[in-house]
Amino acid sequence: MSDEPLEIVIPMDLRFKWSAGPHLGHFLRELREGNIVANRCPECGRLQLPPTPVCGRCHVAMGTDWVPLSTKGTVISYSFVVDPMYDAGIGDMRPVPYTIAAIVLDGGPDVAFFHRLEEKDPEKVRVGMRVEAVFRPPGKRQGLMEDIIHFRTID
Amino acid sequence: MKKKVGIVGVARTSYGKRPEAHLQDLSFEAVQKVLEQTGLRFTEDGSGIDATVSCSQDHWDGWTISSKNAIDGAGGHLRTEEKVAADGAYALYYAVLCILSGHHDCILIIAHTKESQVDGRLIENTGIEPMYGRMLGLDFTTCAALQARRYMDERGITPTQCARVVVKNRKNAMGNPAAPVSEILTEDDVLTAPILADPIRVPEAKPVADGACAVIVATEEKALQWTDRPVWVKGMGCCYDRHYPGYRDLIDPLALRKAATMAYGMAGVSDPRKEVDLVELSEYFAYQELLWCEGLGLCPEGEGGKLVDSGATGPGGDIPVNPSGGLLAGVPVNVAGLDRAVEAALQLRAEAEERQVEGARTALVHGTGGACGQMHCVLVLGR
Repeated sequence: MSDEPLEIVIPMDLRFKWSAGPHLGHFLRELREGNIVANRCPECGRLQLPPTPVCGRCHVAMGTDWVPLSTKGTVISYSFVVDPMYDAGIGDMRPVPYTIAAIVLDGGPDVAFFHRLEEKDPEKVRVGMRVEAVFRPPGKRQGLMEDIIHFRTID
Repeated sequence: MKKKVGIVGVARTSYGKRPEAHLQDLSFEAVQKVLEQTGLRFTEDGSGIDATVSCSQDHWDGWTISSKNAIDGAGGHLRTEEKVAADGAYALYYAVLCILSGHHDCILIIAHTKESQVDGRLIENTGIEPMYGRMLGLDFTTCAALQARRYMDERGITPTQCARVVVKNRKNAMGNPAAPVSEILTEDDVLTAPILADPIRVPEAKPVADGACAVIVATEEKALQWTDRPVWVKGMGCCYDRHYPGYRDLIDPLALRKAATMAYGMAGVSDPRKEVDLVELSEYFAYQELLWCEGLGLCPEGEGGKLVDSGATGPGGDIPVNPSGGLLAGVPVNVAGLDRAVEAALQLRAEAEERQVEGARTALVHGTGGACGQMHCVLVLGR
């Protein structure tokens, strides 16, 4: 046997058709209209974002107590990502750098919403800064998280 | 624990990149070593190993029911073989339960992963819920970066304190023959290294690694018969938090605190800082060692940074953490938590060579899975 290592490259391209279901589905349909909504647990009153059929803490069905949140919020954490990664959504490497952030939306203090920031200058981003969602034009939205382009700085 | 379960053998491959090896070569190598060390064989009459628990993940192997990679070499042919698709500490946890239940007397656990065969960040991206987080490009690195930033911002943890973890663990790794990292770094090297996802720099992330490790556990009676240096599982606990990191307060490792409380309760540990001699924990990123120390109750909340500053977690400190170099020394994912148990067992058997903690009697083992510490498994081992 030869000692030369033999490595064989076999790509995998799997296409899934995910069902959003009634709860995440409602959230995504609202997102398509330019709104961000959460649902509220009938027992503990905590908001669920992404909305879920069940509250893990109380183990009760969530029902349909929908709460509209502001599209404005406060950054509680962020990262400038410079290491590129393949993006299955675009079928290519995701352009870097980009800024990913955890944002607490006004009216939704229980959970952090994750999305990208428009601001890519490390000197200009800080914890506590105020941001607002920038949506794609109405005709271009598909009921995806990508219906929000990014969050822009508002102060 | 009412009944005792003992570790009778531990073995592993080296963890460098292995382009020449098929996945099955890696697991078979570790299994052969542990059989040779213990003299045990796969038997059906109770005189040896009754069953196998394997540990791997399909999405890392790119192969459904990926334990088929290990089954022949792990003694699974026409025998009982069960797979734990989670961190290796959970595989040990499950094997111990199989013995406590009386179902088996002796189990071989084999964890294996070959990270170098695929882009691991893409694999971890598929570990994120698809419709909400995955499309944003969230993976375990970006989630960890968000946790690190929040931890540093809220608790005043400094980049230097995180760099100190890298310096300590790299130095410790020089005494660990399985560790692929070969370079000692200074704090300055770490603080000026390229950024991966800020605030995390490249040497603050676990290096890519390939390999397998194997552990044999048995009932008290058989452990005493087969080894004169048994290591006992004294307590264990595991806990899951919610998947989506937005639901968790990322600076409070609640699931870890709960898992540790369960393990300490079972082991009769009331003050881990005083009663534990060493800790082998799973720091996929440097800041996690500090945060996990807090979660394990080794220091007060928010004082993980001060703990590393004090030197307590270094060699000769009062609570050495990762004397093996930890995951920053280069340990494959999934293998990670079981390798912590291998290291702890070597310490308790006084076989840890250069990295030996003198007089070690009690060790903590920690494994974690999911994005930025969603789930944790803690075991207390003793001799």
